[in-house]
Amino acid sequence: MIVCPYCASENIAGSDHCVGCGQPLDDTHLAPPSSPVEESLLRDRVSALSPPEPITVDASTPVGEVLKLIVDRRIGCVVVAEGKRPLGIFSERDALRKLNVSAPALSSHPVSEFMTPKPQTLVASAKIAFAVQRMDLGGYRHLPIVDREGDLVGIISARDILRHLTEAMDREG
Amino acid sequence: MNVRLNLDTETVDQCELDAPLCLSRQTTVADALGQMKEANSATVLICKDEKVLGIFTERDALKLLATGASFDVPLEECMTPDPVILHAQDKVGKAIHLMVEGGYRRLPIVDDNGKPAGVIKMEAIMHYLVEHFPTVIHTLPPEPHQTTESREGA
Repeated sequence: MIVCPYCASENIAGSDHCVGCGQPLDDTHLAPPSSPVEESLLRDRVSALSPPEPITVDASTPVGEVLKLIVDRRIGCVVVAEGKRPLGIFSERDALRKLNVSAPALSSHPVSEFMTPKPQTLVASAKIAFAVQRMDLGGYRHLPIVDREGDLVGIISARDILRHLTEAMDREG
Repeated sequence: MNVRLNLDTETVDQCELDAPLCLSRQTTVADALGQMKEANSATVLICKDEKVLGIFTERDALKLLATGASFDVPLEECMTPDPVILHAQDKVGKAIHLMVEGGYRRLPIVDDNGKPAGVIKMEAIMHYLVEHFPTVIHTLPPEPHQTTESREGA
């Protein structure tokens, strides 16, 4: 078994390219990192960010309750989940775009009507560079982290990544 | 290429900035929410004579939506007055530090005359990293999850 150096998908021995992301399965062609900051992007994995457990809600939770939860817990989003399986994400952006001034009238509707379904997820062993790229492609500020079975184990934010980078910058002095 | 050097020398106006959505203090929250949605903007700058008096963000909007507060109030009652502002010539590294340490997701940027030039958001910083650093991010495939259903071959 070869673990992809980029997205950490498991590949059968002898594969040249990852089945998960299409990248070559060795990272020897990459230029060596020229600074601790580059190194932290290239070498560190999402697990280095210590992803906290996400706050989850059921698909049927009234969106009004979810809004209060996001404000009270001072978070940017909740993961809508069935058991441990992520079904979607509901963020403050969804609140502004999809509820807006209609929020009071829609507050009893289930959050599943307004969530962004099928969220992009990553495993904790994926490279931070990979997480940065995924966030940029989708315009996401959060990515749920799942285990090999697809069960939710954590969540990371763009801020977590930037914090990690600034710590590397500070080490660089 | 040295990331640290770049973040210390490149200025925030080299990032992709959002056009500033400037409204007056008297604009109602209901009106502002509508304009934010239409302009696809998460930030309103409350301005007078091309000077920034306050900021009203997605987060402020969310608090109002959650509490069921009236939207028929002027922005000046809900805005954060005298927000942290970046100058167009401030460095990208400064923006990152402010976002990490100050908890800001977006920061207004003004020109030499204090006139709003744009808003830099965290997504723009992530995009800047992808555009500038390191090769690995560039060489990753453009489509997420180019997954095949099953392994090929015997």
